[in-house]
Amino acid sequence: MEDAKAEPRQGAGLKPEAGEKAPRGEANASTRERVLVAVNGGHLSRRVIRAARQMATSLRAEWIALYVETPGHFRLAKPEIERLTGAMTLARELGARTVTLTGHDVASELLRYARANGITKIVVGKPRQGRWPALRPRVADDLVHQSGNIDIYIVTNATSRPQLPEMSAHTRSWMTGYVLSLAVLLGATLLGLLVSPFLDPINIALLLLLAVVLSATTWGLGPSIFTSILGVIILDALFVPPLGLISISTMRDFLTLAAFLVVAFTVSELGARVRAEVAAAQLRERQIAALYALSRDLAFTVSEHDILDSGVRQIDEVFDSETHALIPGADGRLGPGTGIELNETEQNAAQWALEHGERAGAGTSSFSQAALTYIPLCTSQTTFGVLALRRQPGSVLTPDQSRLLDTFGGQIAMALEHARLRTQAEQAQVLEASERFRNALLSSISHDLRTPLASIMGSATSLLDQQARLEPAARQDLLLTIQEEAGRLNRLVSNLLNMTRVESRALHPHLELHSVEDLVGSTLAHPETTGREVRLALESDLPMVPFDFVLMEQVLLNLLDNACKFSSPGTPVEIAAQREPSHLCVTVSDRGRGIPSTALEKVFDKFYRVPDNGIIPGSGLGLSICKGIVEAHGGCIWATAREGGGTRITFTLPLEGKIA
Amino acid sequence: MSFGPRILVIDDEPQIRRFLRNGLSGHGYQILEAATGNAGMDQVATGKPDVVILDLGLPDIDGLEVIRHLREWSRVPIIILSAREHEQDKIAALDAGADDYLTKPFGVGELIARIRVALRHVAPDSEEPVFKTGDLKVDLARRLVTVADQEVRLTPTEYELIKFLVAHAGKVVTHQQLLRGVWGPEYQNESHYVRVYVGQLRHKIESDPARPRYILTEPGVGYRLRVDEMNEPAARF
Repeated sequence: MEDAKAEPRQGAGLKPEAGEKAPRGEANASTRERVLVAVNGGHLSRRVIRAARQMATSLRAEWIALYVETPGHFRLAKPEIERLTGAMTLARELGARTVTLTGHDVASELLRYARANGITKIVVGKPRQGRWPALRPRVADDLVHQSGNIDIYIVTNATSRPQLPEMSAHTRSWMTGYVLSLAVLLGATLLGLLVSPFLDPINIALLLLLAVVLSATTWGLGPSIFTSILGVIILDALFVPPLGLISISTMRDFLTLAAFLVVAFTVSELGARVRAEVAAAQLRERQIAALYALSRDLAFTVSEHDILDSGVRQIDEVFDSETHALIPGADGRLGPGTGIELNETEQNAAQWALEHGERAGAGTSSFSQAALTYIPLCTSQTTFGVLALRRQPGSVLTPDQSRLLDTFGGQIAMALEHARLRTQAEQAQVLEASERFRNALLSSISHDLRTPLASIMGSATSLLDQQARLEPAARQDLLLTIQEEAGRLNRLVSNLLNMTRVESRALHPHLELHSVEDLVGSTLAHPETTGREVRLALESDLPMVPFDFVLMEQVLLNLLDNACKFSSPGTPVEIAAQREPSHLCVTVSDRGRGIPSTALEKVFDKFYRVPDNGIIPGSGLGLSICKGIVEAHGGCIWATAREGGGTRITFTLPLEGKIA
Repeated sequence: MSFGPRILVIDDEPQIRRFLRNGLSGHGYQILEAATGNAGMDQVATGKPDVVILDLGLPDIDGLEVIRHLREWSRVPIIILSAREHEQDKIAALDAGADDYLTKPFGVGELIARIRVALRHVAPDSEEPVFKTGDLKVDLARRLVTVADQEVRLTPTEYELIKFLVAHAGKVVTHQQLLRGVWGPEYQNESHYVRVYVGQLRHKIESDPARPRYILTEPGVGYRLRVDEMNEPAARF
């Protein structure tokens, strides 16, 4: 039940943002996290422990629950001791190592232990201040000030988690109101007696009226009527002549007393109404706050499973219940929920709620003999399931609470609907992207394969043409054309095959340690590059790096092919390689026309060709294949413009093998 | 007809057989053909070819099986034809007993070179103690390696490596074959050893180790020591 707010307060700086093209790599094993949670006998301990466990699980770290026994330990009240023991047991059950230390100052002991044991994160609770600010600094504050490099996470009790009152307003015994009203009245009387020599009875009457107002607004109609009657009697007896007797002698006195009584009753009535309105407004405010907390929580959850989890938790918090979600199977019938056994009556009630979209079970008009209450989760479009609510036997929901429960159900259902629609939208997008790729592929195949075929067909038929008289040079040229275009076709087929593999993530690089020098040498043996000057700048003593030789040869071949295609024959093409701390860096550079800065990232998109270069043939696939292969090795690839003209493509290969 | 060495082509694709028939006979070879694995094996027994060219993708029987069957009773050189990107198939075939391979599509020049090398290894004219290719000279009798008549000092392992390559000069050798031959069968899986030592060897005997002229890389498969009668790194598409 994680509902506490965790505010991370970092001792050291935040982890640095990933820099431009920083290579992906494995986390350094020496920065393993260790979490420490500070436990005491306070109310927050269990929440703090759960929060720490969540953190430890997500960091795959070990965690330790620590209690510092101060000299004040022996003065702890029994409930506190029980909470402490319960908290430590919980921590142990959840997988923590528990430690108890003794000391005077909790914060210093915690930090000393933390530093000695390689703790990287400390989780501590800090209950919200009561009405009076703490006179002494809290442990959490001390920790934050002294933590240094250790991160401190503070868990508080969230204030926006309202508990709805069980019954309506009167939690106090009815007697208190009357007794306290009497006390106030007597106080006002005493005051009146003190000032009566100087003032008229009417003034005293106003004083007593104050007591009536106070009674009405604080304790309600009953006590205020009581105060009014008593007040008028006191007024008559003590302040209106003849003093000491309850009698009315003059008309004026009668009017005074009558007026007092009327005003007192009116004030009582109004005061009580005000009080009721205030209580109602507060109740409404709490309900809205509960709903707001629910919808805010749901807004951040994405999966249907998490939404149900979160919703169930919220309901349990607000309604003090135990809730389970029941989801219908394919046949529309509710299956047995996880962690809950339902007998036939319960099943029927749940099924009814599901089918009719209305509450059923305990406390409702349908299947009221059932032990649990069933709230359907449905929107106008779909029904997702039913929530089974178990409360304390005998506790009844007020109509207000019932309405709120329905609203909760509605909100959860809406969130579920959103999640489902979002998933569908994502799937549709994926399908669309897949469709677009397929179309682009088809049109590329159609054009780019047919072009060399056309040359081959044309050349072959020319050679076979009986009627043409070909010079030997022309004949040789046609034959060479056939050979070259066949080569081009072959490369294109390879590219298309690799492209579909990259796209469908069927690329499984077979990683073995190879030398980059070997890779370069092998690539240079291919005929595309013979005839062009290729300068090599390979750092000496480069380490062997894990990669798939055949795939990386494709990459280098594509890059060389591009470099040669996009630069004039006289200009040099350079290949360089150097070692960086965690990866190997290889660059292929040319002195060609270069890539405009707007296109430097786009060139790696599938089928992208830099605009207005229709002279140079190609399918636009080469660079995207390179990107797919390099990234499948856990490396990065990017293009930059060279000073002095031309393009440099750089790619990295991690020194330690990591398949993306 | 031609009276040169007999080549048996086992390939189910008529077009491949067609161009091989035409291309090879022009070099004076006699051509025998078979369209299925079984027919091919029969032809090996009856036709007694000097070299077998075997396509791995046969319809009736796995090319690997053909190699294994043949190797049970014949030492005839087998050159396999396979599609690109199936390096594991090539390695398996070479381990099963094939002598060399060609990746489709290939040029006829490459094929001729492979055939010549295969024939040479079958019938060595004499126990030539000195191997020569380009500027590289390996004198097996005197355990001397020179490049352009300059002596090259090799470690014992490096010498064993070059000796093994010379014994298979012109043919492809897989990483595993090198490991078994130079280091022993226990080292079969340490392919990077081979690459490290080949790298070192290249640095000693090649004028530009990044553009080797003698020890050529066969991507994903192994290495090949160039012999003079081979073309320059042949038209690889």
